[in-house]
Amino acid sequence: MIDSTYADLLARLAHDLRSPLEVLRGTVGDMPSLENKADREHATRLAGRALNRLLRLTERLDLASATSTGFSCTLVDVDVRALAQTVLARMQAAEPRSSLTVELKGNAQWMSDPRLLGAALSELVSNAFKFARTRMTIRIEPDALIVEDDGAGVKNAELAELLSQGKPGMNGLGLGLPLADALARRLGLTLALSTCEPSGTRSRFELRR
Amino acid sequence: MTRVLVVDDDEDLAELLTVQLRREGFEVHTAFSVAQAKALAAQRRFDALVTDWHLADGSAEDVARNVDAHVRVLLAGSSAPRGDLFHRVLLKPASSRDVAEALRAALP
Repeated sequence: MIDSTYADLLARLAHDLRSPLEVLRGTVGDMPSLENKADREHATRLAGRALNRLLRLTERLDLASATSTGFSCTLVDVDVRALAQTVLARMQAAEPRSSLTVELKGNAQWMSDPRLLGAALSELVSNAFKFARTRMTIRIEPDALIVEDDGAGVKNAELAELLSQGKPGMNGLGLGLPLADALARRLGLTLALSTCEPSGTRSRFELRR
Repeated sequence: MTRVLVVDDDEDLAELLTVQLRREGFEVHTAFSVAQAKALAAQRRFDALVTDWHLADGSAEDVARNVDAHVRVLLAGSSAPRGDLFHRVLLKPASSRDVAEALRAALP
């Protein structure tokens, strides 16, 4: 079971690798012919963002690998709101979307592993950043951490597939959700996906009781 | 000047193709979703459309049906879909030169 999860995660890497590699190939290939300083600076910025995406992918690959080989959790008191703020700040720096309204509501203290919980939350936030039309929300409840977006959403029939044997690249979804699911299970959480009304997707980490 | 609409939900890829096609001499507008493409198409007419297959809020077919353009080029990540909505299908990664050549060959 774990091996098949790991294999699935690796299969999805091809999708997540493709875009930053394409951007790097394009910008590096352009550089010698760019005579204008502003064009060179723009290409450098694009290449820098692509490199950051590849570095983040490396971190995610380490985590995906650990879902197969096993990794230890260090449970400490976690201020979930502060953790969510850190994740949001990283995401806004890496993948800026100035037109997106981001809301963070509620607070809770959990016993958890902040590195793994932060990584799992990053996957949900990254998807919401990508798919939201105008707004994304993180809601923190005493026993749940919920990420919602107002994007096109996913059909109910496809939601379960996204976590298990999803199709790599379907609607641009790649490694993220299966990795978030694997991390959640390691942390003793459940990850549930549902559709929002009138549109969008809700991802919910819930503490198991 | 030939007016092109580039649609890709990966903003970095869309931005890269946009600046590259501008250097090739095209007037380029950019959308990151089907909804944005529809909004731009409602404001102006495009000579050509270049769109990614998978988009966050739909597919290239949704874009092609809503954007009136003489030439429609699809950028496909893997096997390309059949159909007559697109004049050319380029397998990704396609260089801007490939895209520009496809546009010039297909434009009247």
